[in-house]
Amino acid sequence: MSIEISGLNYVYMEGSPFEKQALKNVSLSIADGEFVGIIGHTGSGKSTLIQHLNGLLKPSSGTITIGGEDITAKGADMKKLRQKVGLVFQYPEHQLFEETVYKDISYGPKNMNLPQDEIDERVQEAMHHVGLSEKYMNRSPFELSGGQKRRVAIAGVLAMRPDVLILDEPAAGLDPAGREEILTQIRALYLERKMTVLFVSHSMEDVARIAGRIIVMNKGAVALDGKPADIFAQADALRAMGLDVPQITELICELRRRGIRFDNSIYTIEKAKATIQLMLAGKNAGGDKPC
Amino acid sequence: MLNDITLGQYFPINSPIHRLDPRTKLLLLVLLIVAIFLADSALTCGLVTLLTLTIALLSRVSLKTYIRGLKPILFVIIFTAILNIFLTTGTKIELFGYQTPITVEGLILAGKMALRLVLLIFASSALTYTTSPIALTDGIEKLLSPFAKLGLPTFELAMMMSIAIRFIPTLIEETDKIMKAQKARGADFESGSLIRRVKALAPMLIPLFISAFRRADDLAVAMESRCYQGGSLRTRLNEIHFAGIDLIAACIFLVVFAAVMVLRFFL
Amino acid sequence: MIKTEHLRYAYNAAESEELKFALDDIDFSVAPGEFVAVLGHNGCGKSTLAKHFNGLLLPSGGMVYVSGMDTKDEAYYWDIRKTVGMVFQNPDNQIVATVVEEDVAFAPENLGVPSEEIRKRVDEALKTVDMYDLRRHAPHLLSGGQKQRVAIAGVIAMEPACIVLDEPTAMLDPKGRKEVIDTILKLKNEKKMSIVLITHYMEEAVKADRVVVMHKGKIVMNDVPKKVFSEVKQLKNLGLDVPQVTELCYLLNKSGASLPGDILTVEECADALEELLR
Repeated sequence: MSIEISGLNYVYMEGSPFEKQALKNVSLSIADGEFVGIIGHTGSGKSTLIQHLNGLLKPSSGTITIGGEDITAKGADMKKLRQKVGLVFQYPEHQLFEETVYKDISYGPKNMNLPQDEIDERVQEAMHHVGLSEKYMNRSPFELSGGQKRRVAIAGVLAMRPDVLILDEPAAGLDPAGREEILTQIRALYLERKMTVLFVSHSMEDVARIAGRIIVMNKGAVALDGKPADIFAQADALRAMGLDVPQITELICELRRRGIRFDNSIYTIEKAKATIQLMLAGKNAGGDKPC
Repeated sequence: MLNDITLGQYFPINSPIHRLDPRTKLLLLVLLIVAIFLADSALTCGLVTLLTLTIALLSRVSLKTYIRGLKPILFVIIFTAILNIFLTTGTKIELFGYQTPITVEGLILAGKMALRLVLLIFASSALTYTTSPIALTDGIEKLLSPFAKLGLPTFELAMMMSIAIRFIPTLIEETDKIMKAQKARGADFESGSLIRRVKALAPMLIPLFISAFRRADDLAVAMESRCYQGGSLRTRLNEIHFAGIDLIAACIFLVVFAAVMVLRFFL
Repeated sequence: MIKTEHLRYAYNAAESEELKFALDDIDFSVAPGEFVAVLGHNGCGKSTLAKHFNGLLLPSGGMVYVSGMDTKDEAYYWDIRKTVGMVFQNPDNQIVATVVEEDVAFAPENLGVPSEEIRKRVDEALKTVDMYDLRRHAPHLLSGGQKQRVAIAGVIAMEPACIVLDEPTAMLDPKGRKEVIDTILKLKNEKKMSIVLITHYMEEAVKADRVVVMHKGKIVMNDVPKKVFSEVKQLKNLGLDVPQVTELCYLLNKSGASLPGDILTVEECADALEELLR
């Protein structure tokens, strides 16, 4: 499902002393089936932007069209929209409330008034997607570990079978192993369900690994938008916006500063390794042939 | 709705009112409230209005902010005014030859009640706008300290109050977040019968309670780590003292209060 | 400063009667002025260990000494808490007051320090964490990194000899994380405080004098960062990360290059690669 945003402005607490323009003239177009990473530091407007996409915030001006339907139009059906656009908030485990994992995950589908067997099927499917074994179904979500709770919460959104999945910092606060697991599952889900995914994070390294396109937000506006390789090639601009660049990007900047010719679009360990090996091979074979 | 709560908001600026001892402010507020309710004639009403407005102006918090503070009780003000207008007996007003159920006395009474409520909110807002919650609880604790000898845990009460105030904005933020998260899962807080709506609140209230308990737990551990051991030994960063300005304020208030009393009961 | 001997901590697991050890035979020590990072994945026992350092938890077996004081001895109850300050993960849940400086004053107030002395300590603590300009602000309007620095100031106003930080950056964004780590380094370098940093971010552990890696309630590695992080394979098996440049060098070495095995920073890696490629 494609997303078209045009001229979106949002003013926070309009008319109060705390008034602040959180989004400034944001225009974006996201194609069906894209995996987009949205980065920006706290207060850059990224959370405000995604809350607009399922109607939790109303734009001060501008329009948003999702799957051909104008969701900013008067009388747009918010309930239907929220079934199409699934939003997983930061620390989603804080929204768990039911006695059992099953009941909690089925909360969304129940609100959609689906028949019981369909609900059962969806809960099972969602649990499978987040890698939760069925033996947890009748356990209380509050007895689970932090990482498991998070997955129950994500499953709660997946069970609505959204066409667009938006995740706000799904790996925040997890340890490296937990992080890795969640990222892998999201990637697998994306490939299997062919949904449009928007992945909000402030970790460049995570985004670099899984997104096909990166949007960098700064001060409420879109600052950069492009393929990961193009974005990471602008390491200085990213640092100026207070973002962390991956160590590999920094390393390549440093080597280039020292006069070694290096492709500045490299941003993963694997690619860096392959390139260095090639350079070494070239050096050993042909003396000081430039690479 | 969550943005409307200005009552209980402290503005950390410097003004003569800010500099008053919280105990002075608390006691004078009580005095002022009594005066507001006793004021009956045009003169006494004018006097308490003048005093309240002077305080509001001296506090250097904009009048707009005070007026916004009225919003939550606007309904009460209008409702009592309407009741007073229609339910007071007296000379009925004639309009275009028709007799209306409205009486002159009713209008006057309604005006007076509305004025009282507005002044009441202004006066108590002046206290909370100019006094940090900590100073306020300090003041209450000190004022209650005679009762500590009778076994009233004044220190603990004050501590509980200040922590409650501290966590109000945090919990409001949390409520907003949970509400949005449940809405994203198709929750509907706005339509249906009353029972349905109350039921719909569970997905919001349960996480909120769980989070409040978790925070309370964390806070207890953090407080213990910072050597919290009750009130006996405790000293203060800003010990509160009465100063010249308190005396001046007290004098002004007493004069107005005495004037209202005399005008009301003896003339 | 802090020393544990054969420390064990047992708890009753939820569904079974058998005792489980969250901490199993831990010998841990922090020297005065030392900065130790404790690394490990969630549930490895690192937070449980931290809570033993100021007596919030008492050992089921073995001993914990803080400046020579046995944490089990009730007579030292407050002295121990005064000596070892604690900063926790969620900045919102450890701020007590509605004004920054009032919060920083909380611990000295509890200890009955005279007002003028509190004022001095509060101002100094706020200057140390670089929050003096915001001293009259309401904490809930601050950023995560700022809140956490207020929490640190609240602890240093107690003038402890050691500060234990239990995942202080887990809930912060990269900017806040950097602010907090810079503050910690300042405490070590300028105030000569002992520091125990519990974390699962390896880029933070790299900055410590010593890294202790925990797994399933036991200490599995305990050495200077260079030594610990050169064990790329072992760390990965424990579910932990190594710095990207360390991993790059490790991978290159595995396929035949001969780079030093203890590279941790971008500079070091650039130096080594420059030599190799020129």
